[in-house]
Amino acid sequence: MNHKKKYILIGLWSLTGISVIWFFLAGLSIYAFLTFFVLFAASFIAWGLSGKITDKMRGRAIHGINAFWIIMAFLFLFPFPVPERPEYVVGEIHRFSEPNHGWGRALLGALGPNLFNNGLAYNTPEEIKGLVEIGAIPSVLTSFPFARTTFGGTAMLNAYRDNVSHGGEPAVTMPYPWTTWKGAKRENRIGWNKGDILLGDVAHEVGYEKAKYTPRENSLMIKEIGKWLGSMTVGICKVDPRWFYSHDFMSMGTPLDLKDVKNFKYAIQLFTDQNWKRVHNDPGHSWWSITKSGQAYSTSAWMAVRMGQMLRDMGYLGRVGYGGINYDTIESPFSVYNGLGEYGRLSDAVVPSAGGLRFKSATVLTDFPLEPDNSNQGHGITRFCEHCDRCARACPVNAIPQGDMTVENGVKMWHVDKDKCVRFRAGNLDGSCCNECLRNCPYNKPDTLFHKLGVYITRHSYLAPYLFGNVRAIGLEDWLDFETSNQAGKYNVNRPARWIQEEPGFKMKLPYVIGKYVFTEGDRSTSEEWSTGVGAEMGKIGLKYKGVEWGKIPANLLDKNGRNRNAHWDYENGELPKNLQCMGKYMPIEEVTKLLKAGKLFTGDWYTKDEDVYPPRSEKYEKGLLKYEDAVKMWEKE
Amino acid sequence: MKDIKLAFSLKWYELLLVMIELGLLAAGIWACIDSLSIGCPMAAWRFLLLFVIWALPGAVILFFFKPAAE
Repeated sequence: MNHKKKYILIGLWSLTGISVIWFFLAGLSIYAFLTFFVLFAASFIAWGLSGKITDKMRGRAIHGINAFWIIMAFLFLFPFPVPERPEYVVGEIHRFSEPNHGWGRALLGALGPNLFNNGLAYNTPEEIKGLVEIGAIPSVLTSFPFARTTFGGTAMLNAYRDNVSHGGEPAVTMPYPWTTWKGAKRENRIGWNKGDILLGDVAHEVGYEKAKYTPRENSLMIKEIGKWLGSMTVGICKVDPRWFYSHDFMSMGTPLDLKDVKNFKYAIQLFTDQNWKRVHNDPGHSWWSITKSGQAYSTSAWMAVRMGQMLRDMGYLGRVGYGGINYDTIESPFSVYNGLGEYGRLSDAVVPSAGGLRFKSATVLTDFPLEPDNSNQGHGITRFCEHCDRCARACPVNAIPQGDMTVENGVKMWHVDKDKCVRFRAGNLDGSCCNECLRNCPYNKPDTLFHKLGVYITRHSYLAPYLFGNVRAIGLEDWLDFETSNQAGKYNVNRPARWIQEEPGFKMKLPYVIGKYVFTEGDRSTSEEWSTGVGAEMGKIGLKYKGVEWGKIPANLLDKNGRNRNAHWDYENGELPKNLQCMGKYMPIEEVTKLLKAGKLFTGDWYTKDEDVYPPRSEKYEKGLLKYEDAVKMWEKE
Repeated sequence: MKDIKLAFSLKWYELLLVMIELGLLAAGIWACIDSLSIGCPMAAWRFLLLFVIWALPGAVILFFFKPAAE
């Protein structure tokens, strides 16, 4: 080998070594990873062409490369034990107040009048005025036709959620003529009663044909029927009473007494896909961003009301909850404790068998004896999200945390800034709602065999999150660029975010009373100043990602003070009307206190001090550290 | 038409590497087709590229890293 060739070879091997160092120093960059393979190959070409290779050397090289791939296959494909579901409960947990969740705050006016009056930007002032006059909340139900249809579909089903009211939720008893059978009459009907034949696959599974109503058999039947109704998958878990909201949204503050719901022991969760194409091809300023939620909500609702009706017909309780605002409970814990998913970075449950985050679920609460799924079933999702923050990077308003998990309300997970999230989603001036977190989540793929293999690898492999993740550098999922679509073309171009803001100097006057609910000083939004346009460069300030500088608002949309203009195409001159008012009203604290003590008003979210919560918290369930397993055991005995 | 005669011999570990290489390329094609089928041409192309890059060292060793012909 001559000197020139020798130096080239040494140079190539050195560069190969440097690429390994680069890989680690750059935080497992996918570019360094790929460069290593290319340089490694180049080094062998140079060596092979320029040096004297013996059979022994060739043999060793082949053994080496074979060993590398066998080890890689083992590390990535071997079914290593799936980590158990993480223990999220680490402290005292209080029930959530439904009026105080993100949408509750926006739609009830607790985040400011501009957002309240113009949220979901397709409303007109006349329409808002009319709605307020009849006591209805401006919302997606009042927006454009297809969203109106899909969310309206959930409203139309409200009468069928149950035949009795709980926690102030509207319940219109509309039984079918044949739902009043009782006793022997009930038992004589053809259907799925004791002694009736089971669905074929369930009969095959349990090994007998006629129903005995054992919990296992019941669960299998419910799952088959759920899928038959159209659910992507079906989960069953025992109910933890802390999942019930403390106050109701629809009736604006009615407290939900746990005694009223103590017979609901099990929850059946049904899932609808929001549709890959609609999520994947959403440019972020579409009218269908919110509509796909409505479509999946109303489809889930229709499945669940039929299952609820079936259970009631069978003589059991069946109380249905579905979105957007027709739940008695928070929904995400069902997906975690029925073993189908885990909490991800978005503070929501990621369910791989239902498109990751790309689902909307409905729940049927019942006393029908069921065998719950394994509540400890893990999927490695929380572990994966520790290595991935694509949703956080993509969030137009920085609402999703990029760092480690934190503890809020006794739960260790990632906690989204709900006010920022909903301010953008409700007040998006360039579209309707948002979609970025869903669109960017690696779990958001059609359920193809190849995607299933990817999910399998992330479940089992300890190394995969390092390769697939991206918190340290551009990762494999980033580089692959699934966002580029051949169906939507230019649609998948990320855009600057603009949303409705409150007037400069706005400060919410608290206590704010709406219906029976009081928003107190403790409920003041932490993003209030931000909502008035302080710091017009919102979003991922300074973060450039795939050539897009997130949150950079174009100059032509800023006013002379550098503030994001509330330009609204529905209005003359484009600007929002001034001096808008919310539906509720300010009330002096003394008056509020008097009414709270008299039981005429109600208040209190999870962070509220015990003495300021009306009605008082449950001493039994909302004091001290109570794990899920302990809470459900106690609830079973209620 | 003349007969086409192919003759080659491989050691067991060479055969194993050939199988690994074919496996990587097959995985790349699968990934490419799957990504195309869900409307992601960029991901399709890059998945194929990814597996080709992964297969490069083995292919190079098979075809270039060998004793010079007598």
